[in-house]
Amino acid sequence: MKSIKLITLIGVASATFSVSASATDRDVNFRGLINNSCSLVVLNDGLLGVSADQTVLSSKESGGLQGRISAVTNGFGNTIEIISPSGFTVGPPSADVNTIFETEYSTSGGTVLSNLLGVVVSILGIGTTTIDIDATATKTSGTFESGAYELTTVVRCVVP
Amino acid sequence: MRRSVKHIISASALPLFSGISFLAAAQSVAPMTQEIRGFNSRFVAQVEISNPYDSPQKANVRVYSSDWLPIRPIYLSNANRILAPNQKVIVTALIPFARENHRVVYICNSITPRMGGVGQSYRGEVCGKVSAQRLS
Repeated sequence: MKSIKLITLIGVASATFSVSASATDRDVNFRGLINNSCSLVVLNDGLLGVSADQTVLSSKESGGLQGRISAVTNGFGNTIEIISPSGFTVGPPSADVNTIFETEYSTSGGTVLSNLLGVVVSILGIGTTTIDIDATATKTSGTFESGAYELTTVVRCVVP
Repeated sequence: MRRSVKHIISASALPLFSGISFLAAAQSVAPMTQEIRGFNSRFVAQVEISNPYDSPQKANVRVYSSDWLPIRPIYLSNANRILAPNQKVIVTALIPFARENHRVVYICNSITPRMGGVGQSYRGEVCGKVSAQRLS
């Protein structure tokens, strides 16, 4: 009889002990960090067409082609802007004389916008956005002489 | 001189950047924003740049002030470098506070790929914003 009581006491004690042991569980935390990032990939450069009177070199003229860039962002707040060239990187000596430069862009995909001037800063949505860009060089006086011309447009992704 | 600069960077970078990790894959610049606090007259900023193209590209890193004027850092690693496809490198910049207690700078990575165009090329420039606060 005594031994039955002893066994019962040991059983109760071990049960109590096991309950208190499970109460000492601890949480294990896992932390991660994904940095806000932006990636730009030039899908194709553009082509400059020339107007009939040779006062305009533009991707919007006959024979011209828009440039296309892909922007990928994974967070909010990233913006895109197109910085117009200040001059030709390749051209005859008179190329930059009396010449103004302008850019326009439209976007599709993660962000949808149309026909904005390059100076307009636009907020990019998360994901992939395709940006189509036109660049134009216009003579305010005179005409473009014969020769090879090239201009470089900067596409900037930044958190303002 | 080079050794001493490296020493300065390693000494000041470790406490400042212990919480920063670079997990983004195949991106041009990460992180896009970061905040730095320090007691020194200069601060260290680090960004990861990468070449997202499937061909080698020349990456140029420049640092600009908050009003987009070029800044010449005391030290800038990997400023001009050819990156293999999808290669990532960490750029470290040591920048003075320039008598200010709060300074915002942009660290920009630009790549001008040649994509077969005639007359037009495009330079993709991605800029990470660094906001630095001098504690004193």
